[in-house]
Amino acid sequence: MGLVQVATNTVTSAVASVTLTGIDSSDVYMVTMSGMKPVSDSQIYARVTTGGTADSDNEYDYANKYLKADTSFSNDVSTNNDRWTPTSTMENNYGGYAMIMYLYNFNNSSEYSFITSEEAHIQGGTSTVRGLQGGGVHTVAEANDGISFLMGSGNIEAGTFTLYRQVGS
Amino acid sequence: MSNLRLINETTASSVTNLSITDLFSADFDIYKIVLNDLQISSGTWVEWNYINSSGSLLTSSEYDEGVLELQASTTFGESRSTNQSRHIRGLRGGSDASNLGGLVMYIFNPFSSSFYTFALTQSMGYISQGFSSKGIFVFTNTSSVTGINFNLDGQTFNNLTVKTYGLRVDS
Repeated sequence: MGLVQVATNTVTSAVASVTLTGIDSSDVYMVTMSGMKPVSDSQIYARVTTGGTADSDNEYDYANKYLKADTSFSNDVSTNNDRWTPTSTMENNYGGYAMIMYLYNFNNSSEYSFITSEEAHIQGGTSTVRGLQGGGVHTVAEANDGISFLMGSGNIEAGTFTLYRQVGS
Repeated sequence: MSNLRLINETTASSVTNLSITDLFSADFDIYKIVLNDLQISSGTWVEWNYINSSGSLLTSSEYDEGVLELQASTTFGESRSTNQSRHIRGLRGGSDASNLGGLVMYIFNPFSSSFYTFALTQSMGYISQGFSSKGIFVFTNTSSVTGINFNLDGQTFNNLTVKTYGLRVDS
């Protein structure tokens, strides 16, 4: 398997959102985040983009297992939401945020767009590692050219966001 | 050229632990590490510690983790721990299966002195049944990490291959 970089965005001063576009094939795409942290403790949201603009319709479903170092695991699910929520509330300190996300069928105008994701973060309030592992679907048959990230509240303070296209065997 | 760069391949046999030094650098923020061709002397988890640039094993009580255990014939399990001296649950094998399957792990920001070192894992082994795991890990120390040590809590790696890739970001 090879990875070809499609887009990247390194945030060095606070921004409201980060959008990665350039999906133009039926290949599987991968998004990574490293060194990401919010201005204040918050979740991160994700939305597909159409023509570079984030879709905020109520067509997002997701189901995740919520792993925690400090207490029992739980399920995290939602239907007909206006975004995916691939993380719980992360702290805005040394922790940063680590995530791998795969994107499926985004370029196919007759199929829904799907994601699978896994992440780890330092949980706001408990300062222990937690992470969501699971997936989501945007139940609209349309072509999407990218993905956009924003915080549930406040801005994104730092981080490197990169979109790769998966190629080869 | 692929942005997934093979930067190290190490094989070992008949060792109780394996250290790979000078592995992490400023060239990459994210690393993919794959363990395969794995055989052990007795059933246990594959564990790991990080190593600093002086070659010292980092054994402070700053290793936290949560691991979902997906088992083929019994109820899924949960394991969790905080403030340990190492990461404990990478890949599980039993004494009835010398071949442990494989482990894929992503490690984030190990070289950075600004962030903790995170890891995400997925594995498949065998302990009287198929035994898979998915885990989240953090080493809650912002000191720079440059290497990794795999061990078996006193057991022996009969064979082990470790391939490390860097995920290149071109600005």
